[in-house]
Amino acid sequence: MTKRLDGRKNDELRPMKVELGVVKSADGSCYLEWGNNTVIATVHGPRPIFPKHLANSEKAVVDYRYRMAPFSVGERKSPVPAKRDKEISLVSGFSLESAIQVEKFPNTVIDIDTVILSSNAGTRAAAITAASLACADAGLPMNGIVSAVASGRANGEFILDLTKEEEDAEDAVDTAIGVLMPQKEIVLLQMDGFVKKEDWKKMISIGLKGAEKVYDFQKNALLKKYPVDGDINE
Amino acid sequence: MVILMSSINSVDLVNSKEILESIKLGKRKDGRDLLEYRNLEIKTGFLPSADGSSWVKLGNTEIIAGIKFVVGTPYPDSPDKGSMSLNLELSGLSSPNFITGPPQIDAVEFGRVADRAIRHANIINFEDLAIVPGEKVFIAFIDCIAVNADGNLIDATQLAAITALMNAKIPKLDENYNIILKEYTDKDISMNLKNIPVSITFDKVADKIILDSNQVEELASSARFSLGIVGDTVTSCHKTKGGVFSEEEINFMIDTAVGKYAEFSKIILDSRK
Amino acid sequence: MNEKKIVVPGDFLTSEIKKLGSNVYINNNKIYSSVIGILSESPEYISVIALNGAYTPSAGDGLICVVKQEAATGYVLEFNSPTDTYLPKSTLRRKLDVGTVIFARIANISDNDSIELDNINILPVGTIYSTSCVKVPRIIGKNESMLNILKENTQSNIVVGKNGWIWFSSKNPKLLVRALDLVVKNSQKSNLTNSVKEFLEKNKTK
Repeated sequence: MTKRLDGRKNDELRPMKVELGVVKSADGSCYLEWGNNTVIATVHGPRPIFPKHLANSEKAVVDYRYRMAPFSVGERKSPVPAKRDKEISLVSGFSLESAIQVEKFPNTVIDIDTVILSSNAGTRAAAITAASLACADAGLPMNGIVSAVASGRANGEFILDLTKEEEDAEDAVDTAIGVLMPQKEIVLLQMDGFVKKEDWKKMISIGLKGAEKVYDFQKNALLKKYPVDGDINE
Repeated sequence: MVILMSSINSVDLVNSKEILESIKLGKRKDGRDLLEYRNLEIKTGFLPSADGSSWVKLGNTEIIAGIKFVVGTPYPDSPDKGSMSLNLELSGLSSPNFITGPPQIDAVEFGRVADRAIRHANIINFEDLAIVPGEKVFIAFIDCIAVNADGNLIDATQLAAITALMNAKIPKLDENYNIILKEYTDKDISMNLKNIPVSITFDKVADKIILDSNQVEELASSARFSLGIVGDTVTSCHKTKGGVFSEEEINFMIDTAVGKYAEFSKIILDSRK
Repeated sequence: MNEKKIVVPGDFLTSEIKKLGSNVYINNNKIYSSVIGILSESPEYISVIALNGAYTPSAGDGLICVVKQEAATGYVLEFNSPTDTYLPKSTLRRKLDVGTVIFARIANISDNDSIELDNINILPVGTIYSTSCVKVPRIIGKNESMLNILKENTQSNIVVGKNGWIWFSSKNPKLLVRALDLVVKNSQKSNLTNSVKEFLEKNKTK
């Protein structure tokens, strides 16, 4: 088994660092560094929805926005949202919607904003992971936490959490997988590549294990924000 | 989603009425003097993808600036000079009052005022950004994102932009003048460090002149005046909002801004690693 | 001594049969937490005390509301909740302005979730401190102990809304806000009332 460029094992995630509640004016927020990805996610809501005709009388509308800062990629990206951004926003929103108990808040909107400040593959997984934390931080009632990760293949090996260099490999396959934990229900699944059925199943299985690692990280982050012992902090 | 103009938060509106009496007595809710800035923190060079970056925290206002160099064509009237472009985005990220979408007038105004404070200071040697005179130049795009909006976005944006510039590195080019990603020359942007630009923004609240308003004070403000200062020189100014200033007040603000220059220019210079 | 247990959304709590309180849900006879909060369990009953979250109106609650808009026959009131509410002009003896602060009680919540308010009091010019409704019990404290400590040590007039909006008029606004921030940030800790009292006594003269 050849070592990866950055020395990681095949099923190893890049280092992650997180801070909750960074945006004081938001109901919940999360700053996440994941490898060379940096993302901020905020949650506002549930709150009144405008215009009123967009309201759903049975549940909250989840409005998820995925954006990349112009300076987040190699070549400066225009601030105008691309079609890719809109598509990612849509499917990511669905993945969070399955976690949030939206029926509790009819006729409202939950605004989730994610901004990628630096990008090195796996940004939509990083954004969903951060957004999940921001939702939990906001105290939204949820059935579980959405943990997302990229699972794929590069240079003949099945690997987790591909970097940009690995995504560019000739035989690269890249799957973004989002999982509702602890139920292990798949809520996001998108793939690009060329892969046989057996290898596909292997990739999903590896992806689910990766999501568990992300989930452990997310749980720790939430528990760390509320220490029960020790002196009070200002 | 339909895009709305930034709406005013009810709690801020209520609180903006309450502060009027205290401001008249020279007292601010957070204990500051009328002409005192909030606590300032600056972190630079923290974004791997950007050519330069800065995170400014001015009280609870936080702005992130990222620099990306792009190879472009020069303006016809300055064929051997590169240029800069400053853009500020106020989104749903930074405040419950903003909704993400095309730039609203606040973002446009604040971004342009911050831009002028830097541009007219003549700090950047734009000639040194020329690659092939008349044909190819570097354009420095400074994109600013508000992470937390609690007043005085103009000064915070200008600080983020200038400190990001202080730490930006010029990318390497290949033989066809295309940028080689992730490779940098060891050249910083050529700058006249004697001309460090400082932006100072005043608000008029209950007939008192104050500096560095927070969100609530901004709502209570009837008139605003932003100055770009280099040393004892005024390089740009911008009066906004519907209220009025007397000639005395304008001169007072210019004297005060010049008085603040040394402190801020040192902070900006010190951010350069 | 009871060790406080913090749980997160989706955490499995028990498969015993218990009465469901707030912030828990049941699936296949297993009970889970739906929020981040402190587990509260007895032999018959299980709930989670949320550490953050939106306000859901409950009859009898006293609220701080702000007039957001005037309509033909009433006012739209905002009260730190996912939806706004409507106050008919017929219930009032005077006209209200946009930005007026009201303290009122929820008399009744109708079938379609609309709220009827009574005991309407218009508050004078003051400041609103905004936090999540889940923090209110700690800001009030047992027998109003925390609230009294805040009032006395900062010389403040304080009216607490169950909806997480706290109206105040204070001689020491900065100290009061710092103390409130302290409660909000440390709401999961024990002995909070004493800690806040110590903090206020230490910082009083500043």
